[in-house]
Amino acid sequence: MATTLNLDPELQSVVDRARVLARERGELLDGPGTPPSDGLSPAIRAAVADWLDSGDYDRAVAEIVADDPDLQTQ
Amino acid sequence: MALVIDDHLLLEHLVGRLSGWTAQQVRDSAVYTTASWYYRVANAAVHGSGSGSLSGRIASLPDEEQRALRSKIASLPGSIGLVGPRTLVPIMVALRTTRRLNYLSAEALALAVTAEASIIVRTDSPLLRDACAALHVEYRLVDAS
Repeated sequence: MATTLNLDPELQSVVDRARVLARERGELLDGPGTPPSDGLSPAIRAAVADWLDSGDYDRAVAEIVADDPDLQTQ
Repeated sequence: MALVIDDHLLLEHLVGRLSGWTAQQVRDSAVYTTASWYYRVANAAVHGSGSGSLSGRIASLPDEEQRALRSKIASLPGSIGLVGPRTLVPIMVALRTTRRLNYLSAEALALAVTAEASIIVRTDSPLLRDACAALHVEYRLVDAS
């Protein structure tokens, strides 16, 4: 996947400045990282998979965002 | 190559559950998520109760295994990029979209622009999709594993 942005000059200027600051703050990654799942047991992975597949994760999120429009999927 | 992933994909990535095209993309890319999507995952994981909750599901597993998962959720691994509001808010307020984006969508779009990343999601967001199209940010809805 690749992205070629189409930004107006004003937004481009804001983005350019943000990128410089993000780089200085160490917020930007240099490339792919190590898999974050190392150290988790098969049983834990299965429990999370079941949480997702059952719809219980979605129900928990629905409760969390119900009163917060800024966290809802628009 | 860089990706911004939503809360579903973040959770699947944390437990190594991604497969197929999505797994390949994640393996080959710098992977970011937003504070909003991370908050949804962490909040749902920590505050749920009962048999349908994550804590209920893992309660019978050894403490060490439970701690390993809680640790990953409580302290997001450094391999997953998380850009803060000092960087993103100026971009969020400079975005001009046909309909106002909420915080979650504006943050995702600002992050994608900053990191020159594509956005991939499990849950479609028509407003975010349209805003991405306007700025030529690649947006892809991926099927569940």
